[in-house]
Amino acid sequence: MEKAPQSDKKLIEQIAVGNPEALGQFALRYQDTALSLAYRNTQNWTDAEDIVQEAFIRVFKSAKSYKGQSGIKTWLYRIIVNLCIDHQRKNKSSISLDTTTTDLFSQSSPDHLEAQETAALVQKAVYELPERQRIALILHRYENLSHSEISESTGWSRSTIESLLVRAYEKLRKKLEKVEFH
Amino acid sequence: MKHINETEWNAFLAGTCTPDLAAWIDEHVEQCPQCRQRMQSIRDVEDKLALWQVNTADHDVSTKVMQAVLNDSSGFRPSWHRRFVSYALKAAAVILIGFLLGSWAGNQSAQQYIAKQDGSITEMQPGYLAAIDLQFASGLTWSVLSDTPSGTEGP
Repeated sequence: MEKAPQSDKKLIEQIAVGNPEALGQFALRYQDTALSLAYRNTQNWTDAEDIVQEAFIRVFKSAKSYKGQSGIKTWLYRIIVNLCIDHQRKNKSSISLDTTTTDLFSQSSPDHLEAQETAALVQKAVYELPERQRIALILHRYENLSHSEISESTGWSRSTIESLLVRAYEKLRKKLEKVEFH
Repeated sequence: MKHINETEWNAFLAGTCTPDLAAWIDEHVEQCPQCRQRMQSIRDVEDKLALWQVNTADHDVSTKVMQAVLNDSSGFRPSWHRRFVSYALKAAAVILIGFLLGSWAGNQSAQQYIAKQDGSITEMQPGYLAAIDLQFASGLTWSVLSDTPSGTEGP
């Protein structure tokens, strides 16, 4: 008989007592979300994988100190966001972007090519945003977090988040409104 | 007629509108062709943002994480193991300190006993003061025995 999947809370309790299998299950459960967030921030798969790996190892090391004050997903987001910021500051001069964003548009019909080009423009426009605006936008638009959840994940106040989002969307709107897409 | 301004459009796109503003925008867009066209352009921006999809299927981190944790045997032992090692080390340190103190005290005691047998231990010069050549001059002070007090030298 197959084991029923454990709740996040149970997994964290087991990780806290040093159970590596529980960490494996936790990583399997959250790696897609974690990779997506790290990749959208760094736009480089190697860096994104390194960041996510480090994030799960930090979860393993600090699970004992997790008191449930924020949601487990928000806690993981916070670790990843901090690692992304650290990574960005360390590698300011040597960042290389992966432009192979569009595995989902592998067909080569004109519509797909157009969608692929537009996706690449979106990717570039997001990457060109200032760091905090980019993080707020990714958490809001792509991870579907509410303003409160973004605030918990970043440690920034709600009013800061709102201001960052307004400025980020303003810049994107200016860049993307001109792009023709049908 | 007042149109939706840039700040209001940005707030609308960022989801930071108050409920009153959102309701007014909805109502206004129904009546104003110019703002309706603008709303369409905003919706297009949202559609464009949605085009950037990330496919994580080819990237497995969980296996690497497990390997990293299992390989780092020193840093990732179960907590009961770490606690046992910590207690064992503390207990060993206490035993060692106790042994050293006991050994030193025994040694001192033996020396005192030998000195007493020789008659050199007095009430005014217990063993620990004799060892450094001092004795009690009164209840509170000591005097140095080896130095002759000044002004008492003989001719």
